[in-house]
Amino acid sequence: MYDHKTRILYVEDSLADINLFKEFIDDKVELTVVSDGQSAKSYLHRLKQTKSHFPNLIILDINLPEISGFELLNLIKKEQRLKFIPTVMFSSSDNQRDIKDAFSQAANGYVVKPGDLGDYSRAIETFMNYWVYTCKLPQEQ
Amino acid sequence: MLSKVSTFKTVLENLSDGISIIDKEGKHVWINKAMATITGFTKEELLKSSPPHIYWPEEELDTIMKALGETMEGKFRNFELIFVRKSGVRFPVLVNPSPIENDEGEVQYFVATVKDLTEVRRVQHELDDLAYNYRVLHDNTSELICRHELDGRYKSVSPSSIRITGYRPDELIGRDPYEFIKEDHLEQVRQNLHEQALAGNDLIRTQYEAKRKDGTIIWLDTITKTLLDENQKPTELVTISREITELKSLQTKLEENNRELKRSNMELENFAYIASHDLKEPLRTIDNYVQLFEMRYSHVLDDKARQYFEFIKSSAKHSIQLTEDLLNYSRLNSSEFPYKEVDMNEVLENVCSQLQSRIAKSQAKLVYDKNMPSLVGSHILLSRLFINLIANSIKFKSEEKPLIRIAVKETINAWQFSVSDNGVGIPKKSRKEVFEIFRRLRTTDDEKGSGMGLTICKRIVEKHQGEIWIEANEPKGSTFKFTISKHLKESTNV
Repeated sequence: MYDHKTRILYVEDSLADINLFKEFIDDKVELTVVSDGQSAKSYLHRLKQTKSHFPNLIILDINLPEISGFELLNLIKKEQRLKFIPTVMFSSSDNQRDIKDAFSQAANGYVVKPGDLGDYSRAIETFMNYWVYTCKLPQEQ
Repeated sequence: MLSKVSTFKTVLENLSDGISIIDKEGKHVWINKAMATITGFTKEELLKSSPPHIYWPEEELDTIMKALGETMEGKFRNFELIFVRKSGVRFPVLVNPSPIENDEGEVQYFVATVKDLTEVRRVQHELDDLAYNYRVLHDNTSELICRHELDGRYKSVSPSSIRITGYRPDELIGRDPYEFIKEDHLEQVRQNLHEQALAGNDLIRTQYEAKRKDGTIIWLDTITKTLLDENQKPTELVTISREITELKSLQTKLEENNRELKRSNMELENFAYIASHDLKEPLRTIDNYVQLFEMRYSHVLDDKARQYFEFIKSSAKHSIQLTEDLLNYSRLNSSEFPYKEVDMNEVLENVCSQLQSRIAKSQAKLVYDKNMPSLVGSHILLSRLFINLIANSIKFKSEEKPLIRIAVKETINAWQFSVSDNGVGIPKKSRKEVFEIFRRLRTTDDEKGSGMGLTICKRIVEKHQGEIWIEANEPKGSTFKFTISKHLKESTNV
């Protein structure tokens, strides 16, 4: 059932965070990392053009240069072909306003980057398990 | 039948004024009772006395002799003289002499009425004093006191008008006060002061701007009083006005300063928020990598390197804690915490469940009255307040198991809560400073906090318009007391 690879798009500009993330995902995951909103846009556009597989999960940092995580979220959730891709905000901010903004723009989750590494690995494991393996999603995209 | 003479005698005898009949030598021939009463001498003493009489004070002899002389010469008039009582006390009298003639028309005796003026003088003095006081007040008061017709026109004006308005009282009498009030305050004065006064509402007060004679504008603070006739109908109005121009300008300045202070305070808080918020991210990264480094490489470190690494690690942890607390503190000001009706029983239940592991670990006992009130406040902030106070009590426990009591009592304007413990207590001199930012008392190393817990408590209490303070608990430990105002309003904007 899980024979095909899990594809994750992670939009993050901090090298340290990218590195850390990589530490905690297994090799079954095909991870694409882009470091700004514009690259993320072009990446998704390219997938559409080439009719390639869309990612199973998109993880967005909020503070990104130029196009912010929220703008990207908005873009994804408005696009007919992308809107059902589980999109989780992954930020160091636990500001209520950010959290409210995320959910009111139809984010599928909001995770505050944990300080503790144990918590960090559990967080990634949990939301990946849920959105990629547990949750039933619409097929038509 | 009563003889005329005896009737007269009885009347004279019983008059309240003194009566004395003297012969041409000035010796008493007859005196009434009042003469004795007034002077304090007995009738016998008086009848024995000859000029200078025993009730003539030595220093008045000249004056009295002169009066007697005039009388003897047939010049009858009233004399105001000073007599002396037997006790030595001098007192004023009004003496009114007249002649008594014999059948041949010769003057044989003189009769004098002697009126004791002591009481008259006393009352007169009192009246003079009163009049003087009123004059002094009226003439010298710094306030402007005016009487007005019902339509407002001046009936009388105190001299202070010169200083306050530049007009002399006589320049104002008969004129309409509305001439002098600044246009944009006319309606206010008419409605708030004049109409209220006419409706019989006393001591109404209003503040407005008026024009002085020289054209400068002053602020007046005026209070009214309505005078009523016996049918309770207003007859005239009295106003007392105080010039408050300087007060007003100070007030305006104060308000400006306050606004500025608020603005810069907000800026500072904003800065604290942004700084701590932005610092959090790199600090978390440091923390993450410190842990990752430890996981992957601690086995290859020698003792010295491990020691250095431990320093880095604990500093990173501490910085994160500080930043986190600073962030929480500066966030208290945001509108994130709406005020709603809060059931304090629920707050404390929530607090207990959040502190469960800490309470269990320290074997603490938490006791509180199950009849906590409902009040308006922020559920989240009030929970945090109790969590911080209880955590503080646990942190500073004595060698005994912590026993923490929470109680509440109602006062007129607030709810007063107390959190008492049996911990190490806080020395009197530190009881204020523990609430200051980043202030930390002695703790063991593993309890090291940022010292923000109590500062946050203070801030939360202040946001609920209350106060927080520490008292010693008997026989040991501390009692934290704080109030939450009963006058808070529920937030409407959320």
